[in-house]
Amino acid sequence: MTAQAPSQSSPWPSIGMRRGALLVLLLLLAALFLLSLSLGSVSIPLRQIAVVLLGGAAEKATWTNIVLQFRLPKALTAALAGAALAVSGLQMQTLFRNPLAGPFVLGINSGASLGVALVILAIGAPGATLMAGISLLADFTIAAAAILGAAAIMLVILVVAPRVETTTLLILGLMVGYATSALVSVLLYFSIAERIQAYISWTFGSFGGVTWAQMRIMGPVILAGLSIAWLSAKPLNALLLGEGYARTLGLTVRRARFWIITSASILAGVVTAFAGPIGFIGVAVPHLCRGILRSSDHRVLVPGTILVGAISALAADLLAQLPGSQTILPLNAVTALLGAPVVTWVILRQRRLSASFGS
Amino acid sequence: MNDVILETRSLAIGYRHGRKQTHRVCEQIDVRLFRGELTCLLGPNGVGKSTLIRTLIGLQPPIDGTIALNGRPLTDFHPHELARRIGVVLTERIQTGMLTAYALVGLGRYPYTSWAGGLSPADEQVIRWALTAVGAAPLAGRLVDELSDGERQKVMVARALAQEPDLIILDEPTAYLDLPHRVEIMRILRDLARRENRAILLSTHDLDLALRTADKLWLLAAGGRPQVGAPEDLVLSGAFQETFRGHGVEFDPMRGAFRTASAAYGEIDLIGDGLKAVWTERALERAGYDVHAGANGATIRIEVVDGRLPGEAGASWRLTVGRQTSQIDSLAGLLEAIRQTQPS
Repeated sequence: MTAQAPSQSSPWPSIGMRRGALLVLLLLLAALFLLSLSLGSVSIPLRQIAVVLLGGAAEKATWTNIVLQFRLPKALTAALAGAALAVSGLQMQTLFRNPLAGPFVLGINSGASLGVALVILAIGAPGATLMAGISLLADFTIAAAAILGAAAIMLVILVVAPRVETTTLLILGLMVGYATSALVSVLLYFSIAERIQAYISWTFGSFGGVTWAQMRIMGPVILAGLSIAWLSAKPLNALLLGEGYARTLGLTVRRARFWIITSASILAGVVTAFAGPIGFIGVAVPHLCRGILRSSDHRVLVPGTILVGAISALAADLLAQLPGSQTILPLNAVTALLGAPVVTWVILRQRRLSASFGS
Repeated sequence: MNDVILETRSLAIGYRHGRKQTHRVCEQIDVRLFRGELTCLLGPNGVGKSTLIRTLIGLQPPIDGTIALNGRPLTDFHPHELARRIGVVLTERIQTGMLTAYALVGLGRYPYTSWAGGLSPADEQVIRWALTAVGAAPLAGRLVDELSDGERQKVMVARALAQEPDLIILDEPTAYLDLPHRVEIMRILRDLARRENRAILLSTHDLDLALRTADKLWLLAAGGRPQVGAPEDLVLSGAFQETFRGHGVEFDPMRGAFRTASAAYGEIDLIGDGLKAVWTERALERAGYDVHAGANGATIRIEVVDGRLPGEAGASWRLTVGRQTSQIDSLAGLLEAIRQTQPS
């Protein structure tokens, strides 16, 4: 696997960076990406996809349009969102030493949901346009509301974080989640059916609503969040041993925790803002990744979850399309139907649950 | 040789509740740790052994007084700098998932690696040296979660050693281990102190093992100042006995071991010598009798008959109670017979 393997007779194991496995995952991601550009209600031959991507015009003008205006932003959104959710989940699982932790464990999605619910249910201004069709303005309002909601929760968490223990933080996140969900319920209770419908369809999640204009915000923010996560791989490794040991290794736990929470919240928040609260990927992919890569080293797991997260999101989106048909399933239904058996399999294959997440 | 690595002055340890309230667990601690020495921290439960250790490694601030590492106040050290000088093994059991012993020891290089955490060939050399030094080289490729308690503890020591510290501090490293592994870990630690010229401090409840292995003992008693010295000095001065008094055990300075102090049921004369007599005496003491050698006129008298082992046919012990004499072939039978002579 390593480029310069030491002599074969060496009795020492190598610090496995799993370069070969990561390369295979990268190829798989590329293949799925092309496939998701090709498949849909209309099938477009892969060769034509290549032509369009290289700047040419496809045999049919509509194909060029479909690929550039719809499928490419959607596939990019899926890949970025999947990577973001998976990495966010990995960070939360390691920080909280809890296999059930995920990107939304701190209540980030609840904040976003509350923001969106306020816009759709209470103010109602873009609600009508949302029902009528996709309006750029309405979408931006929803995204902005979701970002504000997520950011508000994130701010609260970051202010509280240095003052409490990690476990306390987990409970606080849960409580914030319950409280905001309750507020959303109240809003739902007093809303009219159409607005409720609009809100519910937002909660199903979709990668399809992101325009190129929105991508200019979402893309860089996700890349920034992933970069911070990449930089936190070493502190995350130290945290595998628990906070006590991490401190004796020279880790400044508070600072590390700040950056881990910041990047995980940014990633979870921005995805929820633009694609809705997408479940399961953030919890399932880190487990899947540890199983595939047989490693708890975050220098392997961070790139690994980025790749597997992107692959999973693309696969889920592809299945939700039901290629060849005009029907589209709710994305969240697919991620759960796909994710639950995978997590079950991974966990059953390992002898102990704790062995699968490294706490 | 006798370099002081760590020194405390009028150290008080404990916990702060809010701004003003403090709970002092122990105070007036003036102790030193030397290069090349193994020091054991002993004391009954709840006197603050773990608190002292947590304070010495910087996990909790002292209430009062100072701790100096290589002559510099502990608080002056950057966390990375401190991690290069003090390696720690804590009591908390870790679960490491898919981490091999090699990778776990590799985490000990944390204070030396760059932001990316990559290991240089020099780092890998240190990992291999650390694993070899504790005799854990054959475990390198195994998952830590699949190691036995003893193997895991060796790997944790190697991980601390990989930090290349001047001082290694261990909180009850022998707690979960069976006797052979306890002895092995203590031997490894003593060898590390001598051979690698490190200072090692460990807390333990293994009084017997500490007496036999440690260069110095710190005896921590409830509320008092710690007593410091070579194990034998502390036994001769009576400090050792004093620290563990009144906990149902009694230190027998003649034997260098503890025995359970129970109310004597009576006195017994034991006649005989050799190994069998020694173990007969132990059995009788365990049952709660004062044993005297030779005939002193006690109502119960036991004669050890030479040449037979327990289980072999024929009498091995001759028990005389008053005028009645019986032949008994095992110590269990002997104790049972004596018990029957007691009014219940």
